[in-house]
Amino acid sequence: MQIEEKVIENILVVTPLEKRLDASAAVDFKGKMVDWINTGHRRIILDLSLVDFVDSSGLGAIVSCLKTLGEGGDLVISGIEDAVLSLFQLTRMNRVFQIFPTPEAAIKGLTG
Amino acid sequence: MNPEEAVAIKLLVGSRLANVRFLGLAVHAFCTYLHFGETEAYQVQLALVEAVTNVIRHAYDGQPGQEVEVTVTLRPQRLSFQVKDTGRPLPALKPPALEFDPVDVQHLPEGGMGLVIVHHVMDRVEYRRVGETNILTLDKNIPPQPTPGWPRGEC
Repeated sequence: MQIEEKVIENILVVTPLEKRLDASAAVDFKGKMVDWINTGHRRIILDLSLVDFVDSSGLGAIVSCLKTLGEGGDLVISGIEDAVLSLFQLTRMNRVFQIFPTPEAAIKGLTG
Repeated sequence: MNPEEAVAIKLLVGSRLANVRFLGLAVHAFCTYLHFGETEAYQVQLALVEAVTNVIRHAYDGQPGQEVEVTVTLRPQRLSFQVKDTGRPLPALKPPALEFDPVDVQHLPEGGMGLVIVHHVMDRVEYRRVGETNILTLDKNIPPQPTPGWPRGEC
């Protein structure tokens, strides 16, 4: 899975460039995220604006990244489509992750 | 569509996770054609993706070279999916409870959400084991707005 990364105000913004975060992409996604966490990134914005499908395996990988961050870490979501948001609502994970409309709004939320 | 009429298409999915996305795209296209809203079309796609991923992972133990047969049947007010495989019997498909404390990060579930999704999205879920075959039937009621019907005489 190709993922664009950039650092803004000491926050890592990662943008998956593929449309689907599903069971066949989840392991690769998680591996890249864990690599970034292990290099010391503690605050991460996962920008899903280019992703139009996430299944429970993809969601499980996102949850796993949050656990890897541990206490003192932040993983928030931005740019999520309404349909994909419904997965978070069905599984009640919308209570776990802060969700922002854009990466810019997420940066404000994390730094404000 | 004639109320007595049902039309069906059969899709064979090789038992690799990478193949499941093509099934998902096909299911989404069926739902869009039947005027499901975007979120509902997504959720029906999601339910099928979860069901077939479950078969590949658990009934076939992730082994490639097997097949999952998905029959899509359109009736006047119902879209039905029958998912068949010849893998291991699946445990009873009672949806697990998805209870967790959203603040207790280390105990959040990373798996076990697929069946919850299937049961929440579909209007009827039935699992049977017949001989050496697992048969999972998933029904979704079609939204009441006018539907264009299935293309006739074009297949």
